[in-house]
Parts: sequence; C-alpha cells; structure tokens
Amino acid sequence: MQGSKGMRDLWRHLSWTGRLSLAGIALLVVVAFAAPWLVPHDPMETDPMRRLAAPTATATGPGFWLGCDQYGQDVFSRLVYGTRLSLGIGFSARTFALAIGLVVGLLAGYFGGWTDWLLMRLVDIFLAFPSLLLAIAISMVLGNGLLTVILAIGVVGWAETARIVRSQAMELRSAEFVQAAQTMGAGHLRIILTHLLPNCLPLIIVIFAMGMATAILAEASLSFLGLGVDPALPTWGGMVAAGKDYLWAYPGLALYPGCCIALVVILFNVLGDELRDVLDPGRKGNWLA
Amino acid sequence: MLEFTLRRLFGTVPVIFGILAIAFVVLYLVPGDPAQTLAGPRASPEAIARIAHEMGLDRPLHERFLSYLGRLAAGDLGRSAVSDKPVADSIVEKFPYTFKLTLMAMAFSVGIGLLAGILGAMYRGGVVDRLCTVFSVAGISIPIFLFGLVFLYVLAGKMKWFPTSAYRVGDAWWPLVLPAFTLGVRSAAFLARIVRSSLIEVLNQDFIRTARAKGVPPMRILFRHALVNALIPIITVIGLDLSSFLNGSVIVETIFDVPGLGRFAMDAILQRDYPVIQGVVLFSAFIFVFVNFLLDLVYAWVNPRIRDEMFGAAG
Repeated sequence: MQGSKGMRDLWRHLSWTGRLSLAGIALLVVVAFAAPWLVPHDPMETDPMRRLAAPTATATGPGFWLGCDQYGQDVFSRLVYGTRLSLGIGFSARTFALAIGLVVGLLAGYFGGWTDWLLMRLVDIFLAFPSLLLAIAISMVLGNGLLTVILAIGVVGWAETARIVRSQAMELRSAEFVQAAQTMGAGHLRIILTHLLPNCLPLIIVIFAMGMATAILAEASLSFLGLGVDPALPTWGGMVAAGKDYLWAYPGLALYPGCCIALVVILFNVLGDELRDVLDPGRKGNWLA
Repeated sequence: MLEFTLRRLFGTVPVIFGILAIAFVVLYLVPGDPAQTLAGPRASPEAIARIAHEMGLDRPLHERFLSYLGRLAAGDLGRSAVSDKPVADSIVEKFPYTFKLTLMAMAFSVGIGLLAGILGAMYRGGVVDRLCTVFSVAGISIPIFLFGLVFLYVLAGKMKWFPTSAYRVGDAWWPLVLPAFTLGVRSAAFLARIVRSSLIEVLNQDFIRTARAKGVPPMRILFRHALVNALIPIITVIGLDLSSFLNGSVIVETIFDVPGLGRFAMDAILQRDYPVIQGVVLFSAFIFVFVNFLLDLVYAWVNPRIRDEMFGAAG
C-alpha cells in the first residue's frame, strides 16, 4: 500500500453506497472528536426544572433542540457525546479482539497439527457461549466500567476473527512463495510476519469494519441491559434503556438514540460489504492487488 | 452413520469440558465471599470459617472443581442466592416459554428469510432485489431492542393489535407472536442474504442452464434443483442463529415481559444472583453445543458427498 494513492484507489473502486458509508463514518469520527465544541449544553448537567421538557429553540442562547430527558439533561448534547463513546468503545474492543484473534489464527493456521487442534477447540469453546451472556458474565467478574465493557466485547469477538484468519493462513502456508521462503531457511516468525500477515491485510480490513458494527451493537445491548459503562455517561444504549420507561409519553427519548445506533451500524455493515467485494482477490482489478 | 455420530459426539467432549472449566473459573473469580454472604454481615469469623468448610470452600481448587462436576452430573446447579430455590428447577420451569418463543422466531426467520432470499435471487438487480437487500442490511444492523420498542409502541400500544405484556402467557401462543417476530427479524435478514447469494451461485451453474434448455418450468428449477443445493449454507446459518436467539431472548423477554429464561437471567443479573446467572449461561452453552451437534448430523445427511463417504466407510 502506498499511502494516499492507496486511499484514492480505494475510493475509485467503491460504489456510491460504499462511498456514502465511508463519508458518513468519516463525519461521525469528526463528530466524536469535536464533541465538546459541537454540543450546546453540558451532556451531564441535570436540572429538575427542565425535566422531560419539550424541544425548544430560543432566540437567546442555544435551545434544547430535542428536548430533555427525565433528569433535565439535553438530549441532543447527549446524542453527540454518545457518538464518542460508541465509536471509542467499539474501536478499542475491536482492536483488542483483532489482536488476539490474529495471533491465535496465524499460529493455528501456520503450524497446524496439535497447535491448531488445541487453539481451535479453544475457539469452539468461546463460540459456544451465547456472546451476550458471556459478556455479561465477564462484566460481573470485573465489575462495571469502561475497561470491562471493552474487554467483555473484545473477548467475545476474538474467536470468530481467529477462525477466519486461520483458514486464510492455512491457505497461504501451502502457497509457493511461502514454501520458497521456507526452503531458503526463513524462520517461522519471519514467515508469519513478512509473508502471512501482509497477505491477510485485506481480510483484516474487512473483518475490522464488520466487527465494528457488531461491537457497537454489543456495547449498545450491554448498556441497554444496564451492564455497560456508568449509566450517567451518555451512551446511546443507556439512553434507550432510560427512555423506554417513558416510551408511551415521550417515545423520542428511546427512539432518537436507537436510530443513532442503527445508523452507525448500518454504515459499518455497508462499508464492510463493499470492502469485501473490492478486496476480493478473485475480482478483477481489485484494490491492493 | 453411527461411526460419524460417535466421532462427532466425541469431538464435543473437549468443548464441554472447556465450557465447564470457564464457568467454574468465572464463579470462582466473582467478587465477594459466598460463605460471608450466607453467614450474614455480623457473623463471627469462626462461623464464616465453619460455613466455608461445610461448603467445601477451604479445599484445594482441583478438588472443588471435581465436586462441582459431580454435582452438575447429578443435575444440581446450586441454589439461587436470592430465593434459595434450586436453579435447575427454575430453569425447567422457565425454559418452555423461551423454547416456544425461539421456535416461533425460527419459523418467522425461515419463512421471511427464504422468501426474501428467493425473491432477491429471482429478480436479481431489480427493484424487488433492492428492497430485499435493504431489508437484510436493516435487519442485521438495527438493534433488536429498537425493533422491540418500535413494535411495542406502534403495533401493541397505538394499534392495539397485540398485548403489551406477555407475562401471563400461560399456554397461549398469541402474546408471543410479537416478541417472536422481533426475535426473528435479525436472523431472517441473515438468512435472506445467505439464501440469495447461494441461490445465485447455484443458478449460474451448468446443470441449471441444461435444465432450462430442456424446458423445465422455472418454478421446478428453483425448487427441485436450485433450492435443494442451497440447503447446506441455510442449515449452517440456522445453527449459528441459535446463539443470536439465546442472546436476543434476554432483551426481547425483558421488553415484552415474557416469563422465560432470558428474563430470568436478566432479573438475576440485576440482583447479582451469581448461581442463577451461571446456571443459565451453562444451560445455554450446552443447548448451543447440542443443537449444533444435531445440525452437523442433518448437514451430513443432506450433503450427499458426506453421506456417501459415511456409508462408504461403513460398508
């Protein structure tokens, strides 16, 4: 890959839906970083006077564009800050899962035999637990907190990554260039790092994009069940959970953050699909080829 | 067939052992001393030590693991820390609701998923196909609790077509329709996507072109030739979906007040009732392993190549 040229190339290969989702994600990343400058109010500032207030747009000072929740917190500001938590937790959890999954998958696929059998049974075990329940069990052991949520989602995600990477590594192991490197006396570590890993890169990108969608959904589900980060923090899942008690009178409290989650996850899923098509080694003129 | 079954059954042993080990370690690591909890906050250290001894907490770890396995083998999942009711009894009592819910959800999922997938493959690239694609992307991406809340608000609340709570469902099916639909949407979307892509792959093969050239009616080609060959990925997806049903039941049962296993787990989580949580997690993991074992057999039976291999090996 050659930096900006690679990116321009990727853009050229994407269809309009792929470009739209990539642009949307870029915009959300900007929102996440710029959240403190974008919000009209402090997202954690409570005020009993504003409890469940209707949306206002006053001439003097910033209004409460989407109204306030049951603590009088500005819904819009919380939504903006939620972007930061959602993407941040998703990204961290995915990186964690990818790191473990990559190591396990490469080792199992490259060495095969007993190493493979042992590691894959481990993968089977982790895949056998319903992921949400496993995440719940982990957050029970470690207690509530940001790091716990990241670990819980990451631990759930690594097994699938390992399985996909393994099959790719197995295929690469028997490839001619790997065998040539072996005959020339290259060590295992060298082969894994310089031959297997770079050739898994397209796959890793796709797994990462898809995994972001799953991780964000998982974080939202945990927060919805009250097992995520501190409920006072403005997470979208937590907002839906708090808003569902007011569903009949104020459906927006649950539906706005719910739609934010749906939007982000759709963007990542569409991008992941597109990337898979574009990076497919069998396709003519694929990116990175 | 017997040899294959046994081999497959043997393959689940290390997985089951691992599941048990992880569940044990999780319970071991959970913060708080069970003897202390049981003895109460004002118990003397001697009393706590005595209870710990009675519970076997002072024995070495591997001995505790073995006795834990022994108790599990006898069907003893411990007692709820809150109600003191045996966990196994509660699971037996709650599971039928979740089972019914899952069964209905699966019916919705297969029905809608197959239909959308077939339509998408038949009218590939057309408006119908686009709509099916939108459905599958939305179904995979939209969180299940958002579906649940929207259905609850619109269909049960505003339209009053469905009850808003399934708590007193008893033997009835009707109150479970909306929860089951909510639970099934996600896997229907997955299935639609898999059915579409595997059908398209099959439809592009030579034998289909031959059948067409022979003048076989299109519907017959679709059902008699194409769909049968697309069956294997479909079965695989249904097996994987089981896990998403078990996950989703926690959320769906909480939203719609279904008195099943998911709701039971959720209540236990809120009350920090560790034995119950562990029991439900174990139970779900076992169901997952068991159903996937069954699906492997079905898979082998449907796939003639594997079937021939099996009978070849046997005969």
